[in-house]
Amino acid sequence: MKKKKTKQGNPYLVPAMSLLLAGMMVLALVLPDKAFSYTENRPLAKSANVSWQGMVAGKSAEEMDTWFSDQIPGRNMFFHMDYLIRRACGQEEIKDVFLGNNALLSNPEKENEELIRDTLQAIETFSEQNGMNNYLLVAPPAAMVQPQKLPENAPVRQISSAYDAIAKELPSVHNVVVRDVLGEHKDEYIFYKTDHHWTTLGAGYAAWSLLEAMDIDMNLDDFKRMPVSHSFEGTLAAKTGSVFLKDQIDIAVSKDTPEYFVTWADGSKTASIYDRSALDTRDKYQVFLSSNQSKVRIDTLSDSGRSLLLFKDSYANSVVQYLLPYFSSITIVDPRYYYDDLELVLGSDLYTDCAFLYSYDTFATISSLKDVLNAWNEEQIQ
Amino acid sequence: MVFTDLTFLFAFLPIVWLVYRFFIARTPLANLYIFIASMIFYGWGGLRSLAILLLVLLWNYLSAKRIAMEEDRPRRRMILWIALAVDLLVLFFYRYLGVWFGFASNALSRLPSLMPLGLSFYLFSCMSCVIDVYRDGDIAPHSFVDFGVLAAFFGHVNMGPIVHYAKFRNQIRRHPLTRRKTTQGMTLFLQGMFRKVILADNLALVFAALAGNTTWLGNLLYGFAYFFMLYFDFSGYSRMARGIGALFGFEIPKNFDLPYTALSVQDFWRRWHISLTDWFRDYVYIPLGGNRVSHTRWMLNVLCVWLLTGLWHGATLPFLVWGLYQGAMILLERSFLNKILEKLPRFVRHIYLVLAQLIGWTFFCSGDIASAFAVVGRYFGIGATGAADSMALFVFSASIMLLIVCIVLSSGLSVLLGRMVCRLSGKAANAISTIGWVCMFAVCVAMLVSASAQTFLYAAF
Repeated sequence: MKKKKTKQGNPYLVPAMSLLLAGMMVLALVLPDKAFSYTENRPLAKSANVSWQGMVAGKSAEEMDTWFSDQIPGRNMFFHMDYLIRRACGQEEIKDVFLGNNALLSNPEKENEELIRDTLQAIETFSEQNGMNNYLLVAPPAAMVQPQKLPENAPVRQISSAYDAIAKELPSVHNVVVRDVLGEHKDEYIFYKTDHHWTTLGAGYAAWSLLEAMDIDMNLDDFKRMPVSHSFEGTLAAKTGSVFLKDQIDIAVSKDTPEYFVTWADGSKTASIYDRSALDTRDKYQVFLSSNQSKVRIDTLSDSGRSLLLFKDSYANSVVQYLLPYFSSITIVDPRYYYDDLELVLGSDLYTDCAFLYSYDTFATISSLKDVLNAWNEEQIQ
Repeated sequence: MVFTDLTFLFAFLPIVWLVYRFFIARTPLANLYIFIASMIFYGWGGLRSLAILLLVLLWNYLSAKRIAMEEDRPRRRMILWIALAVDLLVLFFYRYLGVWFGFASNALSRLPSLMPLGLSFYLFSCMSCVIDVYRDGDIAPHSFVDFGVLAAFFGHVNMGPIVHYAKFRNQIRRHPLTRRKTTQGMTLFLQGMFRKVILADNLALVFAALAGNTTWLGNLLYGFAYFFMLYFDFSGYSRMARGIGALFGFEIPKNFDLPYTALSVQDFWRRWHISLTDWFRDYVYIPLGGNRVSHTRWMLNVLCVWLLTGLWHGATLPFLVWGLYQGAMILLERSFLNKILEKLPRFVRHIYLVLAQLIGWTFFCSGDIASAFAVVGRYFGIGATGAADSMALFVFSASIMLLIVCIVLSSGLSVLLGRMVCRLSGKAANAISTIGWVCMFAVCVAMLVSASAQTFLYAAF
C-alpha cells in the first residue's frame, strides 16, 4: 500500500533557530562580562548572588535575568536595531524622548510645585542673610526653546506656568530669565542633538545674560570656540539607542582669560577647567569641569575684585569657561554631591556675588539645593 | 520565568529542548524530565510559589486517585466536593481575600498572600482532572509525574490554555516527537512571539500614553489599543504555549480562533479563550442543567456562568459587571437580537460585535465603573473635550501602521496570507522563510533588550 506523504514543513527553520538560541547561550557564557556599556552610558549587571533566601523569594533569578539581559552578546547592536525599527515604523517618541527634526529632545520633567515653592523660599532666605548680590538663572529645556525641532503634534509637557513661577522676581534675588535670549537664537546650534545639555554656544548666551545682570560687560565674540570632539553622543542617544546623530563639543577660550588654577573636590590642583581625558569616554560633556564634583574652586589672576559663589547642576559646567575673566575666584558647589556644612564654603572667602545656575529639570524635581540652603538657613536662625 | 525572558529564550528553552530532543524523547524518562524542567521553570520565580504548586498538585492527584478507588457513590461525591472546596479555598485566599476583606489587611499581611503566577490556570486544570475522574473512575492519572506534566507543563502553567483532563490525558502517555510537530511548534512559537513583543507591547505604549485623554479620538485609540493589545498579548502567549507543547510532542488545541471575525457575542466566545469557555460549559453550565431547563432557569444559568467568568478574571466590581454584560448580551442575542442580526449584512454584524466587545473591554480594563462609563460615553462623543488634541494626533500618526497590521492579523485576511505562504515550497522558499523568521526573532530580541517589553497581561489572572 502506498504510504500517504504528509507535509513536513520547512526543514531549515528548527536547525537554524536551535543554532541561534544555543549559540547565543554559549557566547554569553564564553565571552567575558562587561562592566560598563558606553552605548547606554550605564554600568552593566554582573553575575547574580545566588542564596537560599534569594531563591525562595525569586530574587536570585531576577538578578540572573538582569545579568543575562545586560551581558547578552550583541546587546549594543540590538539596542540600535530597536531604535531603527521604531523610527521606521513611524514612532516619534522613545522613553519620553522625542525623535525630532535632526535632534533628540527630552520631554521636560513634570514639575513638583511644592518643591519649586520651597526652593525659591530657601534661596530667598539664604540671599537675605548672605550679604552678597544674588542671581538665579534656570535654563529652559530644549523642547521649550526649539519647538520647531519637535515632531508634529508632539505632546510636550506644558511647563510654561512652572517656568514662570521660577522666573518671578524675588526680593533679594535677581532673576535672569534666559528663555527669551535663547529663544532669539533658537535656530542656532544652542542645544546638543543627542544630549539634554546646551552647547557651548547656548552656554555662551546664558553667560552673557548672567554677566549682564551682574553689570559686567561681556562680548561673546571675544571667545573663540574650538572644537574638541566631533563624535559626542549624549544621554538622549544613550536612552534611545539612536544612530547616525553625533554632536560637536567646543570649548570657548578668550584672549582675556587670565591664568588660573583649579582645586578639585579631592584637593588635587590643575591649571585647566577642562578634563581632556573625558573626551576618550562616552560622556564627553564631562570635559567641562569633569564629573560629579561636589566642590570646585577656581582662583584666577583677574583683578576684578569680585568673587563668585556658584550653586549649580551640570548645565553650569559649560558656562564657567565664560566667567573666568571676570572673577578673581569662583567657588562652585553642586548640592547633589555636597554633604558638608555650607558654612565651610561661606567662611573660606569674601564672596561678592552668588549665583544659582540650574536646568529646569533639576530645579523642578530635585531637592538637594533646598536641603543644603535650608540646613544653613536654620543654623543662622539658631 | 516567562517566555519573553532572555534567560528563557537563550538558556532554559535551548538546553531543555535540545537535551530532550536528542537524549530523552524516546526513553521512558520523558515525562519525568518534562516534569522536573517544569518545576525548575516555575520555581525560577520563587520557591514559595513552587511549594504551593506542588501542594496543589499533590492534593488533587491524591483526591483523584481516592475518587477512582472509591466505589461508594456518595463517598465519591463527598471526596469530590472536599477536593474542589480546598481548591476554591486556595483560590479565594490568594485571589479574593485581600480585595474583598481589605480591612483585615494587617492580619493578612503576615501570611504569604502574594498570588503564585498562573494559580487560576493550573487550579482549573487540576479541578478538571478531579471532576473527570469522578465522572469516569477508569481514567485516573497513572502517576504523580504524569499528572504534574498534565497540569503544570511549563508550556502552559503560567497562562494556560487550561487543560481538559479527559481530552488531553491520552497525550500524556504518548506524545511522540516528529519533524512536522517540531517545525510547526517552532513556527507557532515565533508567531506568538511576534504577536506579543512587536504588537502587544507596542500597543501597551499607545494604551499608556492615552490613559486620561478625554478627547474623542484619544479615547477611541485608547479603547482600540486595549482591544487589540489584549488579543495579541494573550493569543501570542497561547501560540507560544502551543508551540512549546509541539516541541515536546504535545498537541495543545487552539485557544483563539480569530475571535474578532465573529458575528455575534455568542460566536465570539466560541473563539476567544476557548479553553476557559469550554471549562465553564463542561463543568458549570451543563451540570446546572444547560438549556434543558425552564426559560427562567436557563437565563439564570447563563448569568451565573458569566458572573463566575467575570469573577475568574478579577475580584473587583468592573470584572463582575464585565461578566454580567457578556451574559446579558448573549441572552439578548438568543432572545431576539439574533433574528435582527441575521437579516443584516455581514459588515454591519462585524461592527456590532466590535462595538460590543470594545465596550466590554473598557469595563474590563477600568479601575472603577464610573470611569468605564465615562470612557464609553466619550467613544460616542458624550463628555469628550473635543475631537482630538495634540497627544491623540501624535499617537495616532505614530501607531497607524501598527493598527493596520493588527486589523489585518485579527481578520480573516491573515489566514488567506498564511495559506499563500504555505503554498510556497522548494529550497529557495524555505530558505527565504527561515531568514524571515530569524530576522523577526532578532527584531523581537532587540525590543526585549531595550527593555520595552511588558509582562503578559493574562499572567495577572
